[in-house]
Amino acid sequence: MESLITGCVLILVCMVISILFYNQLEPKWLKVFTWFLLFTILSQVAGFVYSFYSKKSNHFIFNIYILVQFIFYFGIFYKTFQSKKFKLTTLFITLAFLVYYWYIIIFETGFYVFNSAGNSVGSVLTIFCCLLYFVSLFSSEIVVNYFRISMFWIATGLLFFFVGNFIYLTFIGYIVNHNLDSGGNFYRYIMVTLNLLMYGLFSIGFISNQLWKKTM
Amino acid sequence: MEKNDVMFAIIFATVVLVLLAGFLFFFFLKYRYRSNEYIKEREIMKKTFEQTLLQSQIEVQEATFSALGKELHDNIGQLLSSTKMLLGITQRNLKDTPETLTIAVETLGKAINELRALSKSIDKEWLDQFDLVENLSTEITRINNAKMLQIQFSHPGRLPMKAEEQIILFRIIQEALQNAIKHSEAQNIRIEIATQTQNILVTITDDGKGLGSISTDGLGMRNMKQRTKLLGGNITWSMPTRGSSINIQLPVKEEEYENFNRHR
Repeated sequence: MESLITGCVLILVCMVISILFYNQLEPKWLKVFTWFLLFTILSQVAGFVYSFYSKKSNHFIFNIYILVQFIFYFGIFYKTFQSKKFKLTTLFITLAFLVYYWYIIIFETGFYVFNSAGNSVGSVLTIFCCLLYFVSLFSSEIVVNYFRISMFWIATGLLFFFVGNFIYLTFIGYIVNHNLDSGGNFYRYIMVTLNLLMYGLFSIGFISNQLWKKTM
Repeated sequence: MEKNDVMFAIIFATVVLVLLAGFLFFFFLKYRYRSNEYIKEREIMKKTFEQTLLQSQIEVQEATFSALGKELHDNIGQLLSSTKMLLGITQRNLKDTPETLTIAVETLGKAINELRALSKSIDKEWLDQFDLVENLSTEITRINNAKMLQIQFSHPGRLPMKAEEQIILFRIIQEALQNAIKHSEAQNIRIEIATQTQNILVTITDDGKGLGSISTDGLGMRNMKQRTKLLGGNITWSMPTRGSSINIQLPVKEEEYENFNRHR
C-alpha cells in the first residue's frame, strides 16, 4: 500500500506537470504522454483494488499494462526518429516484442501469470531505443541544445529506469523462489529511487521548453 | 552463497549498471558539447568564406562598373562632345539652320548629359562619399525626365548605414528599377525607404504586368539576393497578376543606429 501511494504520487505529480504544460508540449504528439500517465495510475490503482478485494492475483492487469507501456514507448521513439533506418528498426523492435510477448502468454505462462520474460525483453528493447535515440541526437549535423528537447529528458529517464530494474526483474523468479527479498523491501527501494529519477526527468522534459526559454 | 550475498550481488550489479548508464550519459553529453562547438565553428567559417566571396564578387563588379564609367566619360563622352562642338560650328556657319539640325544638337546635348549622369552613377571612386538618398533622387530625376514612366520616392532623409553598404543597397534598387523598366512595362513605380530601430525596410512597387516572365533564379535577381545577403538582410518578391512588389529588410547595426540618432 505504501509503495503504491509513493508510486502513484510520483506519477500524479508528473501528470499534473504535463497537464499544466499541456499546450506547450513539443512535439504536439507528446500530449499523448499525459493520457499514458493517467493510464499508468489507473492500472496501479486497479491492480491494488482488484487484489485487495478479490484476494486474487492481479498479474493479468500488469500484463495488459506492460503491453500498452512498451508499445507506447516504441511508438514515441518511432515518432521521434527522423531517419528511415531508425524508424524501420523501431518497427522491427515492436514486432519482435509483440511476437515474444504473445508467445510467452500463449505457450508458457498464460495470461494470469506476470509475463516477466516479456517485461525483461521489453526493457532491453527500450534501452536499445534510448541508445538509438542518443546516437541519432548526437550525430545530428545541426547545433542541438538537448536541454531544451523534451524527448531528450524522457529518453534519459527511460534509460536509467530500465537499466536500473533490469537485473532485479531478470532474477525476480529466482529471488521469489528462494525468498531472497522477504517483504520486497529491496525491490521497493529500487523502484522508489528509479521512479523518482524517471518521473523527475519526465517532468523536466515537460517543462524544458519553457524553462530554457526563460533562462536564455 | 548466503541469501544476503545474492541480494548484495544483485544490488551491486544494479548500482554498477546505473553508474555505467550515467557514465555513458555524461560521455554523450560531453561528446555532443564538443560536436556543437565544432559545428558552430564550421558554420562561422562557412559564413565568413561566403561573405568574403560575395565581397570579392561585389568588388570585381564595382571595379568593372568603375572602368565602364571612366570609359563612357572619357572616351564616348569626349567623342560626343566633339561631335556637338562640330555641329555647333556648322550651325553657326549656316545662314538658315535647318530645324532638324537644331533638334539633333539639342538631342545630342541631352545624350551627353545622360551619359555623364550614367557614368557618374557607376563610378566607384565617386561613390566613396556615397549618400543613397541623394544619388537615388538624382537617378530618379534622370529617369522621370525621360517621361517614359514616373517614379515616386519616399525616404527618411539619412540612413543608418555605412557608405559602402549604401552603395550595395543602391545597386539592388538600381537592378529592381531596371527590371521594372525593361520587363514589366510599368507606368508608375514607388520606392519607399523606412527606418526602424532594428531594421531598414525598402519597398519597391510597380503597376506593370508583374514578374511572371522573369525567373527568380535569373542573373539580375540572383545578384539582388546575393547583395542583400551580403548586407545580412532578406529580400522577397510578391508577384500578383498585375504589378509587383519587392520587399527588402536589412538589419541596422547598433553603432550605426546610435550614430544615426546623434546626427539626427
